[in-house]
Amino acid sequence: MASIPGSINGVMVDLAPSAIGIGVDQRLVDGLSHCIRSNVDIGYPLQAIYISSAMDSHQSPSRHVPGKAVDISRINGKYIADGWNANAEVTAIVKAIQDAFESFPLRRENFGPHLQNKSGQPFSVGGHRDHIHLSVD
Amino acid sequence: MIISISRLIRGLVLTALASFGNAASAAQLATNLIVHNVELHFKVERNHPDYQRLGGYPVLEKYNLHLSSAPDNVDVVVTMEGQGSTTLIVDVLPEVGVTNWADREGITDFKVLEETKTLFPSFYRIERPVKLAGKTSITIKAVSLKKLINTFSTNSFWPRALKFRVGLLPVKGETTLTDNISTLDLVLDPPD
Repeated sequence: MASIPGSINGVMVDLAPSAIGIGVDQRLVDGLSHCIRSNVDIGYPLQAIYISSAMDSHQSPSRHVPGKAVDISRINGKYIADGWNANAEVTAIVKAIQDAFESFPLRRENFGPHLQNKSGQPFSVGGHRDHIHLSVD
Repeated sequence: MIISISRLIRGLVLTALASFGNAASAAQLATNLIVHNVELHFKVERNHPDYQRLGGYPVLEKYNLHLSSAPDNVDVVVTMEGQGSTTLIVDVLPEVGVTNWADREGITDFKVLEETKTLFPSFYRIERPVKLAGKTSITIKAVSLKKLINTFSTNSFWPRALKFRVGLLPVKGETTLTDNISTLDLVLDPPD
């Protein structure tokens, strides 16, 4: 198992206490490295993300359980729940992260306020207005 | 002079009667029990990244993992008023729905959840004797939300809400009972 780095492409990664010290699948770390970078959006620099859950707080058959999913709930210290469609910086970066993840070859679930795609196809899913859920094959 | 004394006596009698009436009303009011409100609180450790924002003992308004408000345990704080001994009752009624997690790799089908959610009878009850002397708060500590949720989530159901029903058993002489009860509905978002 791999661990989620404290910094990815110059972006600080904060973990919820429940997610600290828990391993994840290397493919998930690769997926994060693909879409988490300081210049992911051209207008607003991404400085920090907060991971509210990784391989914790979920139960089978969630892809969190084998360490293949992660939830991002804050962008640059701001809650997605508060910032989506209300804060230009949060809205732009959420869109940019989700769009960037779509080009990761092993992407599986890409659920958030901007996109709700599974393996590149639209997937009917409620919720996910307050976080981005990314998972890999 | 005689007339003045008579008026004075009548005035004193009327004042005394009025005072007695007020005292009687006050005594009657005092026997009425009131549950002013119910709140859920949870503890945030000092080393938690959200301690500065949330404080050490915030009110839980909604259960949501992604808003740092998904504690394992909550304290139920009931503020009440009255005189005398009675019993405080707290019931928790779950409103439970189908998630379809098995078909969706653990991602909740919110449409199905909302359509199927059903209010069940109380599955958690606390009775506690209380002795009231005015306004006071009682804290029922460490009610395990985790355990209550797991009752359903282990079978792929989700409690969309937990309805806390609180009541004080009426005491002799109460003239109204509607103030003896209060409710709090806690909405729970699945973690997804």
